[in-house]
Amino acid sequence: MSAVVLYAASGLVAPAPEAVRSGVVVALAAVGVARDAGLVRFPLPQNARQVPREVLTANVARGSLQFGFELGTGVRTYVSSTVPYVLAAALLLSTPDFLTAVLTGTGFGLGRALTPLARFASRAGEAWDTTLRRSLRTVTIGGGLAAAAALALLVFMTG
Amino acid sequence: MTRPYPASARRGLTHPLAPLLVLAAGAVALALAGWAVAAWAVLGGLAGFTLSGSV
Repeated sequence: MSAVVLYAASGLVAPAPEAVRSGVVVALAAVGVARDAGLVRFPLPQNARQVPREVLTANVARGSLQFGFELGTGVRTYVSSTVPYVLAAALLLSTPDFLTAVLTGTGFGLGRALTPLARFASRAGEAWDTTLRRSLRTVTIGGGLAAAAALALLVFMTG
Repeated sequence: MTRPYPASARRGLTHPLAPLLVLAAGAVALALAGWAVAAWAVLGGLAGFTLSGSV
């Protein structure tokens, strides 16, 4: 949903030179990595609150949908990585076609689901949680670096 | 009692870093290959996965 909104808004920046927009995308990706590595500090917009447990206990089916919606769209969540913001800016500035925007958003949702899926598949939730906590810094910084590399290739090689 | 982490192929395949490796390599490889739409989709997945620490 957010990707479609960004697609619609990207028309507003289309008049800006492509080289400038591409440079900004790569620069933002680099700054994002620096932030996740703790080299620079600045706040990012977020509603830093957890979805209340009561949402799930009042009605399991509806609560699960509400929980997933609020968590997935960031209505109430702690955002632990800069990469989603970088991706949003890249979608806005690179003016992709509608299909690309939709698939990017779909990919985001699927990526978000990989964490609970991997935990479930491990059949060792608590141990997996411990391993995840130890791996989070690698996930955010490694993900940021890979995203920066991929974005640089996408905006400068494919146009 | 905490169940020990299974020492098996399952451990490797479900390690928290496994999706990172696949998505990171996939996004870069697809971008290099010029498959832009697929690269953006995988990039979306990578961005979503980096929120693993968000609740």
